[in-house]
Amino acid sequence: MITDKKMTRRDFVKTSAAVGAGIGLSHLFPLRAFGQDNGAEYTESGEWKPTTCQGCTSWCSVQAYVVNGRAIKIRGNPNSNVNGEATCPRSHISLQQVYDPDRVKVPMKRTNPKKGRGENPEFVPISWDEALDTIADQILSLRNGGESHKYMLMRGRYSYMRDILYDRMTKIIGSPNNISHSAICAEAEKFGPYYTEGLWDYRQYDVENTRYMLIWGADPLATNRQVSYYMSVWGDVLDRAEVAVVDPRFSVTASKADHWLPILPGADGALATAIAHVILTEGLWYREFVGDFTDGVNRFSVGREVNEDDFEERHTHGLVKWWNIELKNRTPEWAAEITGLPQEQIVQVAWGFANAAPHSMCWVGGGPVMQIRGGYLSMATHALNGLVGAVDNVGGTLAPNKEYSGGFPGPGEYMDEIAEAGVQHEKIDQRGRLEFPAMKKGKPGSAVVTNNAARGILDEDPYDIKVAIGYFNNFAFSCPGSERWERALSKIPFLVHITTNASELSWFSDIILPSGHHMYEKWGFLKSAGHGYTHVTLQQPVNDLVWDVKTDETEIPWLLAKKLEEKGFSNLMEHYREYRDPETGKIPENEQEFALFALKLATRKLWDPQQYAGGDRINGWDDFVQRGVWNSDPYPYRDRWGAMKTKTGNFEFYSETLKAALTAHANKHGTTVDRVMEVCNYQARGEQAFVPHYEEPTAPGDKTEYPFEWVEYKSRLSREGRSANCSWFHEFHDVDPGNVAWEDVATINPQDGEKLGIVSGDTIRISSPSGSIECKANMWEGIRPGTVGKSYGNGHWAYGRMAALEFGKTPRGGNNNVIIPAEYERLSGATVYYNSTNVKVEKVT
Amino acid sequence: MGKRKDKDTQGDKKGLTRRELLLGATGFAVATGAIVHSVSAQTSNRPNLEGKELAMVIDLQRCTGCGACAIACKNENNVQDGVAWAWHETRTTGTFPNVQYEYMPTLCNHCQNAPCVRLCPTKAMHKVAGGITAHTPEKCIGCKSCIAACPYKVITPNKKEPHKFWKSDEQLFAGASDSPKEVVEKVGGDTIPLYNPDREQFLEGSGLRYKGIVEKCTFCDHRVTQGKLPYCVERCPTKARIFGDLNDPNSKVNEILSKYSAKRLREYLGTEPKVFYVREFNPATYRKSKGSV
Amino acid sequence: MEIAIVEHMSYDWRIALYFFLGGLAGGSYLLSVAANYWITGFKPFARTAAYITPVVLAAGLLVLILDLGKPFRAWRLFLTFNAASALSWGVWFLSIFFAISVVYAYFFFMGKEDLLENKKVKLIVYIGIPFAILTASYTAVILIQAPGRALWHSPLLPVLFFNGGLISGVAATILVASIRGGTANIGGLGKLLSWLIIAELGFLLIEFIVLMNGGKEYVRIAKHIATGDWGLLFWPVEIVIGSILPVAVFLFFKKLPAYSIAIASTAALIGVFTMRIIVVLGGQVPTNLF
Repeated sequence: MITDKKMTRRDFVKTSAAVGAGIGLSHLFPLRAFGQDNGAEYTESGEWKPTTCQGCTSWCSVQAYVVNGRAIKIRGNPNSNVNGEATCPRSHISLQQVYDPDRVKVPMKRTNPKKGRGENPEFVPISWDEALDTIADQILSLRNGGESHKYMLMRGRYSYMRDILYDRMTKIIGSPNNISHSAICAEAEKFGPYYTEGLWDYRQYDVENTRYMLIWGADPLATNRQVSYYMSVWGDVLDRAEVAVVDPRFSVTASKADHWLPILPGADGALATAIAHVILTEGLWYREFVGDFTDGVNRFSVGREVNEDDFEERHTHGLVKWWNIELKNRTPEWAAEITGLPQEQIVQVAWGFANAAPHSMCWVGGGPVMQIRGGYLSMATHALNGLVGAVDNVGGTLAPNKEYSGGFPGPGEYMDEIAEAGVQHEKIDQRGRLEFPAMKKGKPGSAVVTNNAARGILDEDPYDIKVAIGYFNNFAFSCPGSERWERALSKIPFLVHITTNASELSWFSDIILPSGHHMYEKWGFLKSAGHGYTHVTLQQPVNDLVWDVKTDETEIPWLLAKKLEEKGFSNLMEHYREYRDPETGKIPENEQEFALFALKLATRKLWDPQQYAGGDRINGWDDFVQRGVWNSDPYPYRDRWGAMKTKTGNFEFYSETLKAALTAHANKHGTTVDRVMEVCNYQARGEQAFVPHYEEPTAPGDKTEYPFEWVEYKSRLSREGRSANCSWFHEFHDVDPGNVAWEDVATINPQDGEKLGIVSGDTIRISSPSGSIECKANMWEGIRPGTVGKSYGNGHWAYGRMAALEFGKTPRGGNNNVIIPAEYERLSGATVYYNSTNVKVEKVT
Repeated sequence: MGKRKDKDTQGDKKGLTRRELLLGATGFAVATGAIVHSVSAQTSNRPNLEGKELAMVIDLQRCTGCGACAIACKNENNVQDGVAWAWHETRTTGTFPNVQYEYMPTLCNHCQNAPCVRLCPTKAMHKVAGGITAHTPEKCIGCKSCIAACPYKVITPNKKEPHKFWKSDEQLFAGASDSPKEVVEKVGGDTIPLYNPDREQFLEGSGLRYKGIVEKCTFCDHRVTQGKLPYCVERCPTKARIFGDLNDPNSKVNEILSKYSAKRLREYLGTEPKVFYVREFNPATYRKSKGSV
Repeated sequence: MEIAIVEHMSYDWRIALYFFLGGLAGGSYLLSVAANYWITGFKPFARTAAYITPVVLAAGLLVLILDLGKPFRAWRLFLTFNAASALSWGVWFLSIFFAISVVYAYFFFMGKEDLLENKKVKLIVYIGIPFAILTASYTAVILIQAPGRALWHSPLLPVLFFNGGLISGVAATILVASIRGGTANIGGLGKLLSWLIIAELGFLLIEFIVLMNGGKEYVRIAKHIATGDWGLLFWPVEIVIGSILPVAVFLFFKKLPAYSIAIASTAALIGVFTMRIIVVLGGQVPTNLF
């Protein structure tokens, strides 16, 4: 009806009378149309309130449009210097998550004592009091029995409030087992940058100033990190820069690039070393960063060793060693055969990349590095950034900017004897053993080996786990070799899951605690970098809370601490009472106050003008809450040149830092670096272990039985595997090139389809040495022949009634992690997702 | 274009007289006639769009094919699953390894010469100020001829009751999770928890549609009349959508259209769409060569 | 979970059925009028054909209304007139034709055929002739008004539809007459049917020639119907059963048992209905917007 506002009251009466006169036309004149003042102009009925999206690890600062305590729309937070008003498609899907009817709204407990995939847990609702009471008893009985180390905390996605639950609570209870998800994230991606430039972190990519981007196994327009920001500028970036994408699958970014290099899975090392070879033999390196031959004459030529003294390096270390040990025979001809790419293309890309120096970059994503031999691929690809002087430079790869958020009070004085003894035990993930160097920041045994915790639990090695809590995680779905987790979780006598949805992990739990949604029902903060800034952005409870859910990282540990105190163990509560309101000094009295005070405490330097340290000037807490975000100072280019956190302070082509770390690990186990290489499935021996180098790709599954190589990728609508109960995820599934709406498909090249007798729409079974799944086939030219591609996110058999075909029983499509075997990049502890397995494909009839 | 608009605004008046004549001729019940009369008396009026010729330019080089426009559209306009006001088509061409992928965002083209308006027997589909092709739900009899007439696949029927999912009272966990219906009761909203009340204007005062009628993009007339951009334009993370008035020589759309050779969908049909596409989804460079034989 | 795929199919089989029934009614009316006034040899069929018209038309109207998303709003069709819309015109063609066909059949029903010779009555009956033609062919104009559908956008379509209407009108009359038994000169009607079908095949051939020599969308739809999914319906049903079979039966056999007449006329009806199905549904094969 068109303009109600034009309707006069008389018209209304007249029309109503006419309606009354007959003809059932109730739809025509719904009463609410006249509820408003007919003369009034339409105005927006809600207001925009800031929070943060965690649909991926971009952590965009966003604003939610809230109408009467009900968030209904999302946009980027214009106050953020990182993503600004841009926000990617998956941010909107969060709205379907928070109002998902299948969310758990009150605590539940299991009534079927038998655990297993086929056992219905028979969950029944219980009170928070009963739930917390049971959990507290379980924890105390462990402590009383001197087994506090048999408590485990599993962390998935998190905010920076995490340490309250993840670190402090675990330590004060007395367990070493706070197991994070980091190793199923992308730790190997940090490996290369750390052992070359001393940066254990994800990089920012200065795309607006670059002239050449060589992207390795990353799909920044679809997934991770700063998707919103990169999307917002890509159209302009293409005007200025040439873009080459290395990926066996035609990714979103490949569709918006100049060159696609559909490399054979795992062969990235050959391509990277060949590009380095071309850069050196052709004299294309960036001399202001790398230095030059003392007499200016290039001595790098195929097969010839060079005298180290002839080259004078500036901000790098070990270039000539690298050449002599690795690069001198890594010709494009050699690489062409290994990579499956034409030699001319390799040379062309090498020239294009180097010619744009220093405003060129290698963008290294998870693809080439989350592989069995990915550690050195991470180094080899990242080392190219050193050759062209892209590191820390305009148009290159940047570190995160400095930010000033703080931590929480230390646990030390609240750890009693039991706790002190408990934390001394070996961790359940077996990190630090000879075969798991897991060397975060150069320290052997310092990185989590998330996916190996399942083995630790199953083998009771080093011991059994008796009580475990998981939050914001779903290892039974998200970890490769997921079937191992199903068995491991079934084995834990008492398992608690803090979650929004009853997921696969919940299926094995004894108690489910319903958690608030991270974007709409939680206080927290996140920090991330992009666009030359770091922002620290708040998560706020913008919605009126209508369910009996609690915040995972703050309210639940507080309530648990209270229970423990009631039962005679008050250390945790005493520790938490230290989290006072920085403005008033008030001690928190309830879980809501605790959550808020803890947040104010951790972010104080950002909002308290008295403690201003840098970046945005924010005028007090209320101002911060209103803005929702703090931005750092702009990026200080080239500050780290000559001051990198490596052993030499320079960019290391010959990694003294890695040499020290590997030697320390070998010494700890009384063996040699060569032996460490061997048990970690690396081929390098001798000096080769300290330089970026090529390793032959390897993946489980005999090629005669499993002839195809598996190519996993992430959907641009998958909120880290949590979108499957949202209709928009399915309805728009085809925005991922090769995918089909409302289907879970594997993409197969038509050449292969013809050989297999499979056509689009066929149901197929994909099998690997670790398991098999069923899904639909889609014939697609964008996937390399000999490989099979599929995006992650479908294949839930729990989580909700849309996510699963039949909740608790039948998955919708297939979960990639069923067929990806549990393998590791052992130097970083990272789990293998790419070049992860060989598979066979059969038509299901 | 100005002429066209004049005709549009007068069109309703003319229709009215003809209708009145027909009323006499057919001798239908006076009460029925009164309803129709009163309905048509409130002809769609968007005074602040008078004299405007609204248009959208989609810059395909900026577009990354993410679908945010279409998702945001559903969000803004309370559009149910299986119906789309804004949509997309994709295409993969070439043979490995020389492959191209393209994404084409689509929406109602608000054709100057709209086949849907021509064919609609009840004038539910009609042109209003600003050049918007508007649809009046209450006039729609659901004959679907507009869908047949539209060459762009941007009008969708409501074959089933919309948002029926949200009326279900089945819980996943008895007593521990809510039925869809309970969610709406607790959260608020209308039929759906994400109900956007701002959409009530111009659509019978309800932000929702119902079974039997068709629906389509309205260029976010409820926003545009308030001086706000269409929601898909606002939410496009790549700023690929540019909106404005073709009658304003200095508008951004005219600036862009003067720079690029714009393409419109199936232009040869003579529908004169108001959605223009500029640049290429993939503007890739290539290595110079004359090729070979 | 309900899978809700976004689709844009508008007209389904019900519309095809309505198109078929509308054409049939027009055809049977024309046959009846011709038999009654002009072709004495067919005179015995005038009554049968006259009855068929309003019955079939009423069924068609019912189908049409039931196809509406909002059938109870059908009255709006009479209160709004869109001069640009064939649909809007059609409502009136249909209504007037229906009224006349009822009046016409009424005289037969009451056994007052004599009155049909009355000048005023005759005028009304003759006025019915253009409305019969319009009813049988305007439906094609509805399709023509969809510029983006290559199969529909053809000036020959109204001719095809009208001729198809004649075929079905004659075939239906033969069928009913054969069931009621022993009507003389059914063979003459059969010959008429055969020549009409042959004409239809000729029009179809021209249509295909036009399509095959058109733009890519035209070629695509022609191939889709001749060799694609619709070919399974087009060749065996529309061509073999619906056209060749009745022509063969009526043109080449002198002495025919009643059942074969019934079968052949039914086959012709099936042929015309299949043609409507193929045009309406096949014509909606989505076109790539690139």
